[in-house]
Amino acid sequence: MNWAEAVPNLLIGLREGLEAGLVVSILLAALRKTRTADPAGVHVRSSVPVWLGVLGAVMLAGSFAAVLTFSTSVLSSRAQEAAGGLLSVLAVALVTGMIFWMRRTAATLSKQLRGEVQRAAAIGAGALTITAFLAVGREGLETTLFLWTAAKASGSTLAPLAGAGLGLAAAVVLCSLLYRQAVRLNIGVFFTRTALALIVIAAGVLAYGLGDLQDAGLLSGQRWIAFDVTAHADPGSWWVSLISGVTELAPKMTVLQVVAWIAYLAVVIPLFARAGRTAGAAAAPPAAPAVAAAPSPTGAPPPAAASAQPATAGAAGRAGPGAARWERLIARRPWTVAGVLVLAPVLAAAVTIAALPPASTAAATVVTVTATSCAPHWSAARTGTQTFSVANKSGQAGEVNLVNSGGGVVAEIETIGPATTATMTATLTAGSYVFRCYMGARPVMTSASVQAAGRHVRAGTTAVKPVTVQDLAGPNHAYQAYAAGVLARLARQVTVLEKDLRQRRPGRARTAWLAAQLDWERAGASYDSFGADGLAVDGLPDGLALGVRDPHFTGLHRLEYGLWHGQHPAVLLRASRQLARSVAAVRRHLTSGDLTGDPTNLPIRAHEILEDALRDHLSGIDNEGAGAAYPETYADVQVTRVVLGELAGLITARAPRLVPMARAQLATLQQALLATRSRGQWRAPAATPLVRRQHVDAAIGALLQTLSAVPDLLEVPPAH
Amino acid sequence: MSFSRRNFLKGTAAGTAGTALTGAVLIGGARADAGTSSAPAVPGSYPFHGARQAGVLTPGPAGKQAYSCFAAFDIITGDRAGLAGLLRELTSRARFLTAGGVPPDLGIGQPPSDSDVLGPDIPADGLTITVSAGASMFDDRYGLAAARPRKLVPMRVFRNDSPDPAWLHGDLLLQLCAHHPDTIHHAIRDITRHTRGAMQLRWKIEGYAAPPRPSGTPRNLLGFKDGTANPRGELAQNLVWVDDPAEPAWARGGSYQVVRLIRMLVEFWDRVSINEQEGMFGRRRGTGAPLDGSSEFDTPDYQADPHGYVIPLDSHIRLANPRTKVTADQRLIRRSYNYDLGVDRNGNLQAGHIFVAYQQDVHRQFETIQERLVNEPLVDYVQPFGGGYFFAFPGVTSSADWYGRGLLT
Repeated sequence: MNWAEAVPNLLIGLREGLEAGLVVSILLAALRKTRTADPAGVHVRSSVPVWLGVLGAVMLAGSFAAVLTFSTSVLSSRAQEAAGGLLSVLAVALVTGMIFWMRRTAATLSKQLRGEVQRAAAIGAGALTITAFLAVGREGLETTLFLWTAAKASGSTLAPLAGAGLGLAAAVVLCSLLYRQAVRLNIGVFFTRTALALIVIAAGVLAYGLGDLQDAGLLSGQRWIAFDVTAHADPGSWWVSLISGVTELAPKMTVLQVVAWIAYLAVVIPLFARAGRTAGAAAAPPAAPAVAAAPSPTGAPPPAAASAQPATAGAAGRAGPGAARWERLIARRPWTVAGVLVLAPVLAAAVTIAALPPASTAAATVVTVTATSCAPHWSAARTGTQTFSVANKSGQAGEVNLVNSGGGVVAEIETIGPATTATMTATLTAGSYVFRCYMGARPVMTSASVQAAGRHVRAGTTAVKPVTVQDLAGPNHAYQAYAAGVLARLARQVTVLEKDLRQRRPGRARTAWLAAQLDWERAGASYDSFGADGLAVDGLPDGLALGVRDPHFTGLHRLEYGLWHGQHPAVLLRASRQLARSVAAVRRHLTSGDLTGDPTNLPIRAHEILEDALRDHLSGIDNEGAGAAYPETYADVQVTRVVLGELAGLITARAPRLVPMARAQLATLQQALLATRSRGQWRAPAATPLVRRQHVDAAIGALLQTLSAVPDLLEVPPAH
Repeated sequence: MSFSRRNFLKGTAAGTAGTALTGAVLIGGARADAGTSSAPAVPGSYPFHGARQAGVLTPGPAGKQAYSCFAAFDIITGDRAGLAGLLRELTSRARFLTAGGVPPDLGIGQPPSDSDVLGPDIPADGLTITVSAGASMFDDRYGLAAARPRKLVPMRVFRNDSPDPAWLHGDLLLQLCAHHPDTIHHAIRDITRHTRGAMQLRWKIEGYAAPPRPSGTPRNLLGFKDGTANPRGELAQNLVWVDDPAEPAWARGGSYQVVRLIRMLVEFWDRVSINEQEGMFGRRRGTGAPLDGSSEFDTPDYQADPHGYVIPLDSHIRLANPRTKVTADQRLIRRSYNYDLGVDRNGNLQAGHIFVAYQQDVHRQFETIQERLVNEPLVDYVQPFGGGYFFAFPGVTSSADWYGRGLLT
């Protein structure tokens, strides 16, 4: 952390805090003096109303800070830059004005406030509260805006906030010491000296704000760079930290920023010096007036300098008859007034923040995972779409999930490496959430539960309840039993094919081949999903050096090629016997891991059997002459129905509408396939009219779109 | 403050100076912005003459032109003299087209010399033409068998390839790259016009490159940044140009070129979960960061992850480049493009990847890597169906030189 960044805010906090503190001191002193001077004519005896007004002002400043922070965080980065830039320029204008105003009116301030206090005290406690609120509130707003923009300019939050806190605390201590006359301070000199430092900081904030406006595209010249020492200046080095922290300047600045910075200093510093001379000439004793505005314990205020100008904002002169009646009304209800002053800003801020639209591209929430804790500092979440940037400091790879109160996962990083950062995005609805970290072999860690609050969000990310291997074991056993039955039929069918080939009846052999091919499809052995054993049954000549003549080309497609290319039955008989052996191997190894042994493959099968139909059958890739894409796809629809049925319970628990929809789409696809036939006979796609082909392609496409969610819904997290 | 002429003049002067300063800075800024945005980041032309052909490392993969065409030809001309004539003609067309200029006026006695597809004054438009020979050019037709670059053979069929003879091999391959597609069309039309009868198109495919989205290396049609780990600078030079003393002398300074036409099953891919997609590549899809890193150019640390818990052992990046000492000299330069070819027979988009790689030794580099990749999970979503191995000639060094002069004289 760059503690130099704390310096500007420390100074701002100290100075502005001292300013506000002096105002409060004057108010308190004036009140005391009024009470002493005219006990009968005063309704207010206690100083509580003044403190209530101060409290209201503090709440106002705090609410303002909250609104600033929350309202800009929901903006797009471009709008954030625009808003930040405009606020920075505004803050500089306000602070500059304040510096000059302070310089001009320091002398008369005390007198003017005393007048207001006298009048307010005469009316009632409520009026006194309002007077205090107004006097301190303006300082508070100014301070907040300036602190906020200075913190933004430095790019971090912690150091500037700490600096501001220290400065304010020092100001409070100093004020109370001054009030008790425990210390004496030449406040005129103090304000003049700090004003110069403040002007330098303000110049930096101005340059920063203009840079933001350039980034946002509101001002030209973003690429007209005055200097760029980023390559030479290590941002971590102490001297860069010191310079950029104290002056708010950056290692890379545009010409506009530099010109504005120089122009601001060149104009404001001489003007400030001149204003000091004019004020000095106008006020009778130049230094005396602002010295120790605090009253003596006896209640006699120190002599305030007579201003050359009459107090323009004279208290009595301002109040019209209407205002007077209103003031009398509130004067009797000091607690109501104080309540309104304290609660109104908070409520207004709360309403504003609640009414903000959910952030679209708001900055990511940073979440950390360590060896012993999961998201330890995560304490707040809001509704709406948000990105979490997860930093893995656990030293191990793992998985990080964001889980809702129902145990559903709304966002996940399936694999996050050690010492890396990855992001996850989710749209949260109101409710409580936890992060769950599965790091390496460590037991699962869970964060504290955090309530997502904020604007109502209609539709959040659909939460997915995790699936375990045990959940899938039952459905997979059912599928294995089904596949074993189909493969037994396939084995018998291969025997028939062999007989037909032996008897040299190619016509019957082709029919037997198709029946066998369709049984193979019905087993759900989509291309390559039964491992090397499956490949021996349904491999394609692809990837073989000699193509269809390659000796490694075996199985059903080898027979298809031979049967439809007039090869001699004796040659094919050999291929058929080999096929019988391959089918036997598949049956023997059916429950091994490579084939159907892994239950986590079942959800993939639910969509991949038909993905393969689209990729291999309907594209014509696996056609070796039979042109059987449509009956093959029809068989794939049948087995997909079976797999979907076995998984229906698990799917419906997570996506209630998916299974009915998929079933309807399966029916549409079946009808489209049957409609490709001519007089009850299947045709090759090439011989099928375009419109019929399109109906099949459309139906399978829509169905696959639905089924593609199944593997995601039923995904078992990998072990790390 | 009382009104005085002096104050009035002072105020006016200050106001004028302030306005002028502000205006000057803003206008200067606007000019500077416009200047940097409109200044072309890409050169308008690349030098044709040189020891090495352009279109390999000039411009290199990171700055390659946006459009390309790969046209494979079979040589029809019957003898060695005809082949030399063809290569001389190719050289002169390439020399003209890559420099641009006004085509000759042939008078009214014959049709115009140029198509005017690029207008009367032909722009160079960053065109590079890279000429390569296929293994079949070194058969017995031209008596070049002894001069065949030692590693130049017809492209093997790898496991999971679906070769389509209509999209494979060729005697000559022309790689044309330019900033605009009309430039490419114009060039190939000009070249075929001037070489008619001597060579005939065998297959041709157009490719396009993507701009960085939003930054870094461009993405392929599977949505992943592709080419992040491409060697650069001197390392690239050392891996690309043939310098093996065992190679025929004419081949030094050439480069082995592998072109593979790889259909991508984009519909299928879009139905795959993000976790599976990222596991197959070994990178994050959004940022291009390796799964064990945070940003695109982070180097994956496989030693820290021997079991592939973070970056799976069978992920594409891990198999392709295991980042070991042994595999360091297997790296190659990829200069690939996307293609779109209309509609597939099953109604899907026919689109994919023109994989283009240059290297010193096709066996040591491409084939070794491809052997590791044959069973990667990604194979379910891609179908290599065409392309071939070629040998890019050394550069044309001067106006007297021509492609393959060292080979044929």
